[in-house]
Amino acid sequence: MMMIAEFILLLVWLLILPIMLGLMFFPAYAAGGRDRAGYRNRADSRNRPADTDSDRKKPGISGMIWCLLSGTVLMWAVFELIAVPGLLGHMRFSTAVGLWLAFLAAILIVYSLTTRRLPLCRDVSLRAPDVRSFFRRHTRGMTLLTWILLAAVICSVGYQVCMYIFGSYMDADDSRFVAEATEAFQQNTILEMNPATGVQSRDWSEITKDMPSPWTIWLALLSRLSCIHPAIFSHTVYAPWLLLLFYAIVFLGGQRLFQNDKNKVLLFELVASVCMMFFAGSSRTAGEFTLHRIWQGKATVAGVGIPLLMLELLILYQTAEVRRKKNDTVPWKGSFLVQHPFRAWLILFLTDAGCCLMSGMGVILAALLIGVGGLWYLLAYRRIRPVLAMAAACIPSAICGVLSVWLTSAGVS
Amino acid sequence: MKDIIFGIFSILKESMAGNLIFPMYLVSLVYLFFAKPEKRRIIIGPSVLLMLVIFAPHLYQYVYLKVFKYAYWRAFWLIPAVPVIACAAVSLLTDLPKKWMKAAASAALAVIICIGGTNAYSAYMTDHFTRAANAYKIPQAVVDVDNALLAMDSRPYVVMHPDLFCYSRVYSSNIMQMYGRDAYSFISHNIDDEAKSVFDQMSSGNPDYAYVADIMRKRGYSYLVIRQDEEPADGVMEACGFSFRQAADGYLIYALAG
Repeated sequence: MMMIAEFILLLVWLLILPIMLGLMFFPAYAAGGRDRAGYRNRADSRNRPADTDSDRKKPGISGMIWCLLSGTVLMWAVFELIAVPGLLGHMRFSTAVGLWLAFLAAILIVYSLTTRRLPLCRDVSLRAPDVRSFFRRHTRGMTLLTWILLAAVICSVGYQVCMYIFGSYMDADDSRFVAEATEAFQQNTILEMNPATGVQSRDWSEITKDMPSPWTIWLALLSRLSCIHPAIFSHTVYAPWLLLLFYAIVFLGGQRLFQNDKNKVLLFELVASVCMMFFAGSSRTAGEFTLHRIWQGKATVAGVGIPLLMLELLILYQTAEVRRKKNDTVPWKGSFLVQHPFRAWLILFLTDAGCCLMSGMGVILAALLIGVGGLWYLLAYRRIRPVLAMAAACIPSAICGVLSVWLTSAGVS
Repeated sequence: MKDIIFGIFSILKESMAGNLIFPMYLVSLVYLFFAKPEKRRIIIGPSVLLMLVIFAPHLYQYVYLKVFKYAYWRAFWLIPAVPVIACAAVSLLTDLPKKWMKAAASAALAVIICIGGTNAYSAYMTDHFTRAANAYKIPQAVVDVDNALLAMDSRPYVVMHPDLFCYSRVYSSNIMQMYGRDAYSFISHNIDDEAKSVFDQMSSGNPDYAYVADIMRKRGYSYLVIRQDEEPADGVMEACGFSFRQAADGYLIYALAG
C-alpha cells in the first residue's frame, strides 16, 4: 500500500506537475482557450498538411518531452529563487517546501486565469481506442529496421537504468551531498549542521559551495513530497529518472539534427548511449559522472544541465539559420521553438538557473557554455539582439557567482 | 607558454586515461566538416570555438586556475564529444550506398567504440560499483549499526569506525560523529587536533583505547564502533571504561561509562 502511494506521489512530482508547468511554454497542447493563429502548428518539415484540427494540437512524444523538460527547469529555477535567500535567512525546510509549492500554484493559477487555458494536455485520454490511435500515429511508417533500432535503444538505455536501480555506486562524496539532504528531511533544517559530524554550525568550508547551489535540498524536497528517504530517493529513484531525462534530451537533439527521420534519430540515440557507456576510463569523464553518480549536483550538470543547454543553443542556431536562408530549404522551419524564439530564450534562462541550483560547477560551466555559444552566434550570424538575450540568460550565473565570491570572502553567518 | 600547453594536455590525457573518445570526436568533426557542410554553422563551428576557449593557454593561466582551482578537467564536460560522434556515425552510415557497407561500417564502429573506450561497468571501473545490498545503496553494515545505535539512544554521540563514517549520517542525521569525513579534511578543512588524533588512533590498526576513551569522555561521546576482527584482547576495553553493548553485521558497539 505504501509503495503504491509513493509511486503515485512520484508520478505527480516527477511527471505530472512538470508537464503541467511545461504546457505554459507550449500552449498549443493545452486544453481550453481559444486558438490563436500564432499558436497553430505549422505544416511540418516535409510540408505534409495536418490531418485534422485535433491532431495538430495533440502532443506527440517530443511535445511531451519538451513540456517535461521545460516544466522541470521551471521547478528548478523557482526552487533556486526560494532556497538561496531562505537558507541565508535560516529558513526552516518545511517553510521552503511550502513556499515553493505556493509559488508554483500561483504561477499555474495566474496562467490559467490570464490565458483561459488549463495546464492539462488537450484531448489526452487513456481510453483504449485513444491509446491505440496514439501508438498507430507514432508507429506509422516504421520498418523492420526501425523496430530493431528501437529495441536496441531500449536494451542499451534500459541496461544503464537497471544498473542504477539494482546496482550500488559507493561514493564518499555522499557523506556531504546526501547527508545534507537527510538533515533537511529529518531535522527540518537547511545546511545548519556539519554533514560529517552533525555539529550545529555553519562554520565549515565546503558550505560556501552549497549555499548558492542547494541541489541537496532539492533532493530533500522531492524526498519529503514523495515520502521516501533521501538516500533511497537519490540513489534508486531520481538517479535513473535523471538518466532518462538525459536520453530524452539526446532524442530531441537527434530529432533536431535529422528532421524526425525515425531511423536516424534512433541510430543517433543508440550510438550516443553506447558511447556514453564506453566513455569512462577515469573518474573524471562525463560518462563516469553520468552513469555512476548522476544524483550529485555536479554530475547532474554533466548529465542533464550541459546537454540541455547544448540542445537549446542548437535551437537558437537553427532559428538563426531560418532567418539567414531566404528560401524554404531549412527543414526545421516549422518547429514551434524556432517560430517562437522568446520561449526558447526563456527555457535557456531557466536552464541556467537550474544549473546554478545543481552545483557551483553549474554556475561556471553554464555561463561559459552560453557565453561561447553567444560568441559563435555573433561570429556566424552577425546579429546582436539574440546575443544580448543570451547574455541576459546568464544573469542567474552572474548572481550566484557574485554570491559565491561574497560568501567565500565574508565568511558564513 | 609551452609549459602551460603541455600542462593542459597532460590534464586532458590524465582525464581520458586511455579512452579514445576524444580522438574519435576530433575525427568526427573533420568528417562532418567535409561531408555535411550544412552542419558547419550549427555543430562544427561552436564545437571548435568551445575547444579553443577551453584549451586557451592564457585563459587557463589567468582564469581557469582561479575559477576551477583543482577541477579544471570539469571544463572538458563542455566538449560535445558524444553527440558529435553520434552525429558523424549516423551521417556516415546513412550515406553509404549499399546495405553490406552499412552493416560492415556499423560493426567496425561498434568495435572501435568498444575497444577505444572504457566500459563504465567494467571490473576496473567498478571497485565502487556493486550489487545493491539495500534500497539506500549504502553498506548494509551502516544500516545495521545505525539502527542498533538509534535503538540505544535517540541521538548517539559516536566514534565510528572509518569504514562506516562516510555513510552513517547519510542514513540518519541523528548520528553525531566526532569527525566523519572531516578526518580527511573534505568538509570543514580544519578538523581540530584532538579529533584528528583519535582518528589516527582508530586508523592505526592498534589503537590506544585508553587515550580514545579519555578524549571521548572529555567531548561527551558515548559510543565506539570497531570492527569485529580488530577486537582487542579480553579485558582491554573494559579496563578503558568501555562495556560491550551489541554486535551488528561484523562491527562491535561499545558504550563508554561515565
